[in-house]
Amino acid sequence: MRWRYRLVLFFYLFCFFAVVLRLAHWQIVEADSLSLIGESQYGRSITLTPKRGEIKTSDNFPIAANKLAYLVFANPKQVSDIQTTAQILSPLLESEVASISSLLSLNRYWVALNPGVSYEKKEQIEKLGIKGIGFEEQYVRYYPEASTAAQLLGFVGKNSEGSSEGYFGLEGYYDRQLRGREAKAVQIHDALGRPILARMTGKVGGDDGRDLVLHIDRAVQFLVEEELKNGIERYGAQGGMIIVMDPKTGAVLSMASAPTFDQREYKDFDDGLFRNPIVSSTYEPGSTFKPLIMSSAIDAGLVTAQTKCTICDGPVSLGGYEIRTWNNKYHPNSTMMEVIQNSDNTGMVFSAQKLGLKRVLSYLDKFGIGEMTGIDLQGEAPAILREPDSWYPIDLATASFGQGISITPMQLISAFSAIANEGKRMEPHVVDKIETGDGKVIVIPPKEIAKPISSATAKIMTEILINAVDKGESKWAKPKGYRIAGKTGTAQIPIEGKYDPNKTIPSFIGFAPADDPRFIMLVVLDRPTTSIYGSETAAPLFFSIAKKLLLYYGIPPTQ
Amino acid sequence: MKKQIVVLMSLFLVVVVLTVTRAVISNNLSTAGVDLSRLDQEIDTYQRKNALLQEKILHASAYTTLEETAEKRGYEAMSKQIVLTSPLPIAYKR
Repeated sequence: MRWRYRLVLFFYLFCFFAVVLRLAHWQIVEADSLSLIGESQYGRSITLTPKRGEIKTSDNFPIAANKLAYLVFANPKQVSDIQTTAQILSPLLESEVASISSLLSLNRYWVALNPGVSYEKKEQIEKLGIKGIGFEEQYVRYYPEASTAAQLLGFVGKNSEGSSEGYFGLEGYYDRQLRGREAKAVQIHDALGRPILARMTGKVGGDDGRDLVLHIDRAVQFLVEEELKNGIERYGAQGGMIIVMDPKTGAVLSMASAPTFDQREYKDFDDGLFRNPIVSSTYEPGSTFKPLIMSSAIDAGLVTAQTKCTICDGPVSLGGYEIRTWNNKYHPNSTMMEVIQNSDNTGMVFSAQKLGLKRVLSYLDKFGIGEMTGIDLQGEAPAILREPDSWYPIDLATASFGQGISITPMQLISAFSAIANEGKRMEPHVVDKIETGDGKVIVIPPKEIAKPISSATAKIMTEILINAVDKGESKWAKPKGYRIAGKTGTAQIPIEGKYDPNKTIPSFIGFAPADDPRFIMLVVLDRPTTSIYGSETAAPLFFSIAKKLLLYYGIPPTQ
Repeated sequence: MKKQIVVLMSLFLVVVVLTVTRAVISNNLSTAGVDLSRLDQEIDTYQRKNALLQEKILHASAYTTLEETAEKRGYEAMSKQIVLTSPLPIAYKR
């Protein structure tokens, strides 16, 4: 009899163990999947896509905003007459009939027909009442000022996971700030699918993207883009770049380049146009580089504005090469002030030789030449200087007048701004502040990054540059009554170890009003055909913009 | 004895009132989802209208649009600056 009791006991123990095992399996192994099934029976989990932050100009106008759009989709299994439906939708979706009908012929339950359809078009399609056609609301990037500042802004495209991502310019650099964080929510509903008040959505995490407020002045940007377009046409150039900056803070007030692209149709443009050449392309600066070397020599106490050049009476022979002036005219015993005024290469060789390689490299380093400026834009190229051991005397000589040295336009204006700002070089910045969704404002303060020259040197150099404008080749274009400091440049284009004699990159850099600069501006034209000289192309364009800027800022003439 | 009956009756009444109240509230809550759904739809509609209006405002106040409009209406860009220099007007002097 006893074995029967034991059998029953073991049987119940086995059953009890089996139940415990099964419960443990549900509770531990399948807990996640079972809870998901449970949730799906009484509610549904929704991923809430955050709104991308806006990019605003200094007047709080969004130059990159968000626009309501619709993704038109279809359930091909519900579409009765594929051909007729395709013919009706074709003009509304601006798509080929064949393309729509091929999508509707797919053996699927869901196909996307067209993303980014406007509200008006969506209403038109909806009124047709075509069975099997649906809409999904979404927000897409909208540029109220069309392609203005395209290379500065960058664009929003899709990444490999199909999510929106910013590329190039500000959209790329500040993507994490602009993108925001996705939120998860569960909506509980009753048997008929209606939401239940007591069990409303539980939003977890998530933030909308942050807004960027730029230093960019919309009026200045608009003016600069128009002037650049007109300048390129007038001088028959292949392209051009203009940067306007506040030298006292490093705030970028305007940045324009051409040729450019349209952010709305970025897929139709060549990839090469997406890069902002102002920060990512290097060029030989030519004579616009001379003030950096001259101010270094003055700052080191090796020359003054009145120091006479003792080698300026003819071409300078160096290491088997002959250095000439741009017009083959020589000015014996010219002062350093006249060297800049005449843009005299031999005079620059004189001052560079006084400085010596070690000091030239040290000053260039302080001017930020050879390193990135730290500007808040994606794609800044490092224009690295050669190692000190690989410099020959001829390299030092040519570098003194901006040849054989490559820099980005941003590096040049950043270095030059030190002359306009009492010797202090500020970090260039496009974004002024970041606004969060909860009303917080993160201000990006101006940052001094170096003081390559003293305040006294900066004043002397400013006077030299004012003299260069007043007595230089482009004095006719200067707005009357204003003291403007500046320098022309005509960089040659190196091709197969030589310089192209007919193609140049003329430029002009300057600041105004010279005594209390409101802006510093660099104008660069790419291979103009009307003239190869900066004084006949870039300089008049610079002064035309400067005149309008002085008017815009309400600065009266002083002379 | 009478007092006990009153107490019992009162308790019974309280229970009945609370039960009825609960039933009414639960009934209201169970159907409030419909109102909520309607409110959600209204919010969506207003948000949509707001987004469309904002787009229109941005388009209208864009410099590209303003320039086109100004050109059509015959406005010209200001190209001269008038600067008042000495002598100051007599009225201002006084």
